Amino acid sequence: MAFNKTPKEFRDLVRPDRVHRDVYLDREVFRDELRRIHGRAWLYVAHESQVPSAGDFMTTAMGVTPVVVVRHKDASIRVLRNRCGHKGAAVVGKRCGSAKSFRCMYHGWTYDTDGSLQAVPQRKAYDGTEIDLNDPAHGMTPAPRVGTYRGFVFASFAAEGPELETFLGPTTTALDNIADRAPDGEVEVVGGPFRLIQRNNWKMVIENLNDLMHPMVVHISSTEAAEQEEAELPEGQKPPPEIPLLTSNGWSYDFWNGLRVVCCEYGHSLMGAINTPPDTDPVFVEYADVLEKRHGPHRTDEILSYPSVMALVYPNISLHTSYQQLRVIHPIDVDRTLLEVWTFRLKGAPEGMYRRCRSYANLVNSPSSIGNADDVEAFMRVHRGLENDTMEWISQHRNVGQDQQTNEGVVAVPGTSELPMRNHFKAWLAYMTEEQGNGR
Amino acid sequence: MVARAQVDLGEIEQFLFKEAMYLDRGLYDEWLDLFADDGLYWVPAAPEQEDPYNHVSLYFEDKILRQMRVRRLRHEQAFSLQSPVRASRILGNVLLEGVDDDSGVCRVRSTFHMLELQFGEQQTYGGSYTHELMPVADSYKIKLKRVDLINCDAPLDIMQAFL
Repeated sequence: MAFNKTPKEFRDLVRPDRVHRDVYLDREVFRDELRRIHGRAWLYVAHESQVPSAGDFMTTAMGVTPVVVVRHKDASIRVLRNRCGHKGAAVVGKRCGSAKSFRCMYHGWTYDTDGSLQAVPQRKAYDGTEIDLNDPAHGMTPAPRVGTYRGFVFASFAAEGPELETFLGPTTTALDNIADRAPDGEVEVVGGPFRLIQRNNWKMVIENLNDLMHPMVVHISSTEAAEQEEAELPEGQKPPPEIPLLTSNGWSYDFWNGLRVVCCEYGHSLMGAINTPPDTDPVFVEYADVLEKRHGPHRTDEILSYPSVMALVYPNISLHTSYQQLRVIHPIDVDRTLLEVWTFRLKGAPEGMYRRCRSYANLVNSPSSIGNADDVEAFMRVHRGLENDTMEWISQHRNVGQDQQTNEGVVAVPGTSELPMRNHFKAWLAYMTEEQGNGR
Repeated sequence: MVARAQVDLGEIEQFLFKEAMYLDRGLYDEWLDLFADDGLYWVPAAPEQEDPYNHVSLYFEDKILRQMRVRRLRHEQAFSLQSPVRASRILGNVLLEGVDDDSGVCRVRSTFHMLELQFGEQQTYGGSYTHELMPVADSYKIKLKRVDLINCDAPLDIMQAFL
């Protein structure tokens, strides 16, 4: 497969402590990323609860490639390229549904739910021609590898590479935790997601997820709005949960320095918990009781005090454990990114627990979020500002040389170190330069 | 008992036009004051969304959250508002859907089209408003303002002010 740039050219874009602006701006680099990163890595595509029965399907994209996630007759989940083997039309037009087979609306080519070509109208017309309709290439070619971890479905366009669990590494503990928080041991997707368009390169979204130097600066308007609101609450009125969630962005550098950020292989990371005071919300107390009846006090405490609030699985998801939501980062173009935010219900938990998840999502992840508006503004300004010819290199020098090697991975010292960005680009460079590269 | 015939539709229309004008002109104190203390502002994230509790919403704001948004809209360091947000909306097709016998609360549906300047670019929004208006003295208070955007489940840009 031909790429726009050579391995040497990619190596020239990434130094241990800085990256060249072309990694964000150059459309040729972007096209190569889609093939070399999104074309190989394990990407989150769906949750099992979205396709519970045979024939259930939903559409999404891996990189910019449209795919259909479908439950086949044998109960396995298949991820098919959403394109007809004839002229390339997207076969499935609906966002989700249920079907026995998929029929292209253009010339009626029909596919089984494993992607194989079942029927072609006037098939005899192809007799004696050079096309072989039995060749799997004329099907809705499936992703060769699909894997599920605790209900979270991942797929890879590469036939070979690390096993899913090897790839996930320590981030499996975050996927475990989100499922373990459900008394029944599994979560289910609730409804549709938020879909937010951002005018910046996809990597800027990922970098911000672990950027602990920005909250007190970027979010000052929403932090202070919440502080003012709290100050003017009538005497004795308890502030709603939204207020501490916003005011915590204004906490001191000392606080953020103390957060534990673990950077793992393949570009992943785990970020330490932010709010850990004992939760006195009656809904939470009732929920904790339900969990304790299932697991006993020791295991319950272990689940609820799991130390990572956010996990990044590079290159396409960020998972919030204690509020059960998942952000999917879809690259659209070199300067355009779509963020999808899905919420989950903890099976077996009191219904009020979903309301906590939902109100956090509305506050933090909605397109109308008064916090996120300033993040998106920052990404857009970075993307625009980089067009300036006088600055070719972007610094990632903060706390270079202070990283701490542990069994779980490399720990950022202090929490505000730019180690996570350096870690992303270590994986990025491996994907971009090695023939068998898988971000390790 | 409030009969539908007793409701002055002209008065209701004037109320809705005034509300739209407050938002277009950024007169947020006046706008906040149109709501009942327990009034809700709700923008569903899914078409035909049944309630704001069992699904995420683009906005679901009570008095405190509305006030907080207004404080941020006025904050000197709301960086994403340095390119100002300006809006212009037109609403029509005002339809009285029902009047609650006991409380006199009127349920009013209308259609709106709206332009908004955001990040220096013009956005368009459209859909329907559903207002639940509680009669008070010589006017109404908003118990519920529901905004159903026709593109509520499509990819959206950041939204900062109220629809």
